[in-house]
Amino acid sequence: MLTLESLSITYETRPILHAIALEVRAGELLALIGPNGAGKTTLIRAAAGLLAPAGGRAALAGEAVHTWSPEARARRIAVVPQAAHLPAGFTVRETVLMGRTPYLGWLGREGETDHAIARRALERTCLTDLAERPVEHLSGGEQQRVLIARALAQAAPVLLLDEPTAHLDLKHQAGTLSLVRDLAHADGLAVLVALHDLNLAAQFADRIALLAGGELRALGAPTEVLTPANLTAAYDVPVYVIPHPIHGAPLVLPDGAFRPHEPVR
Amino acid sequence: MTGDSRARPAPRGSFAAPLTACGLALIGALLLSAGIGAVAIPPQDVARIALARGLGLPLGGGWPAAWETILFSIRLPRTALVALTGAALAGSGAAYQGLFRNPLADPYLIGIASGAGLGAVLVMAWQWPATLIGLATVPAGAFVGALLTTFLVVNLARLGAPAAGAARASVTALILAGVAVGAFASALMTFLMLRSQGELRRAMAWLVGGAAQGGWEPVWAALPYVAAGLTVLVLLARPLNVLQFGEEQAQQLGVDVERLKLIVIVAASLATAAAVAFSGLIGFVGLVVPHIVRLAWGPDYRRLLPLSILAGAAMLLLADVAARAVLAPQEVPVGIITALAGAPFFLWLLRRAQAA
Repeated sequence: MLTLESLSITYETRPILHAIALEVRAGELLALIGPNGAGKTTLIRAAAGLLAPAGGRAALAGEAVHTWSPEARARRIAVVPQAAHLPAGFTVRETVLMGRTPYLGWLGREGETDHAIARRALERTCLTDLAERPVEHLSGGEQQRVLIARALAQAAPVLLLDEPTAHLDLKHQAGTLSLVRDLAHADGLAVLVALHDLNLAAQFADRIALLAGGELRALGAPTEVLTPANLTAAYDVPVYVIPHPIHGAPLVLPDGAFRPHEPVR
Repeated sequence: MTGDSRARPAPRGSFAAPLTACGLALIGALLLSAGIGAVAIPPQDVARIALARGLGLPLGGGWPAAWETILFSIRLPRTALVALTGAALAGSGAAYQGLFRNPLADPYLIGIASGAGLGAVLVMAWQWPATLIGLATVPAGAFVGALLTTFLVVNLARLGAPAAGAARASVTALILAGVAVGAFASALMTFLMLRSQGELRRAMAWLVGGAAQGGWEPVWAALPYVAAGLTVLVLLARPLNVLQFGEEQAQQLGVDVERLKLIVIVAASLATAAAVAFSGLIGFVGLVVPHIVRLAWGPDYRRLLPLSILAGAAMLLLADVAARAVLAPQEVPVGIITALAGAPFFLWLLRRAQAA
């Protein structure tokens, strides 16, 4: 669906991403992992067409997405930004209706279709009961769902999420990611999600892309990517990888004896 | 908007109720403003005379003929100009606050009004206009001054910020840049007015916001600017709402942010410029009115803009009534009244914004 073709991004003169090649397929959840500063957020923004590449391109239906108008982009690619700011005073429903912006133009008004699509997005994210509440009264997990609902209202075939589970507790981490997985498997969206937590990635993703130092180090099924060799090289810390006792997905544990102020043994 | 995070949930309901409230307040303020003065005319007679003469309704006579003259050649033009000014300042203030996502943005505080004033004075110094054509050049000069000041202040405010976060200038940086640029423009303006000795008194009165020029000409000269600027702002209410999520999210949601910012700046500068060109520097209206409206009826720009425009006109009319009543028969410039009432409100907002 969305293809990164040898995509390179440079900020001023500093290279951030180097020749990234991967495809986010329709109906799959692709997790993007990597240490801090690896370029995950930059990759999400570039895939959304918000950055002009220094080389290569992010392509959808054979066209480079950064050349599209903001409206054309927002109809095809929805982004759930990291730690997003939600302005106070708008209700959940009003916030979700903002997702209809690319279909309305500057002078348009929301019609019955827009309200129906927003209603469906609220149902899909279990927010119907909270629809008339001001967003600032919601918990962090609920606000995250509002952002996902707003992205769904964009009715775009591609969904990009930047660390949607940051600052969420265990229950909301699992809830958010199983919703996102459903959107890929049941609704057929192409979903790329940047994740910090390797074990969440292992459990929920169909494939994982490992990013480090601006380069794609590994791409494939969780068991192929989450190996001690790959992770130690990327994160610069010794790890144990064991199969999950119940469903067998890889479980990553840092070496508890590791002392970061001493050289790696 | 940091200042709003502690606000109570905005009351919901139909748009008709607040619209009616603000509309009635404006009508009341118009009648009051046209009625008071050396010759007091009761509000119901102001309404009857205006309807009879203005619309040709058969409402009979029975009022002194002098009242008609007083109303149509003195009171109504002044009332109309003050209402236009209040509407322009409050509407553009609301737009600037949305554009900079900064609760303290106000055409006066961030220096734009001073820039417009300098532009107007430059045109006046070149040739004090007497004709309607001449009058039309004053807002044009003020418009250019306002635009240049906006770009200067925004870029100065960004200078201190690191490049990555420069999309949104901080509250402090914006106010400081506005104060510096505003002071510079005011100094130049004062210097120019001191040079044009003959008009000094008149110019000084204009500067602090006395509607010194009489007659309908300033009204007709200001009206197209104010109407055009405010109409564009009201039409752009929905994208302004989306912009409240920040520039990055607005862009992800399909808004061409750079084009939107440019159009909003041009439209708000148009309205501000016309207000400054004919009414002088009137502070705090653009700050206080949108804030009160936002607290009462929520942050949705589709409501906030029209309501601020109506309430701004009503509030400045009331301030103007006070300005004429306090030391009657002497007149206090209306800018003094708005500053006396608005400055404490500004300090309260500043404290609130910093506490959040």
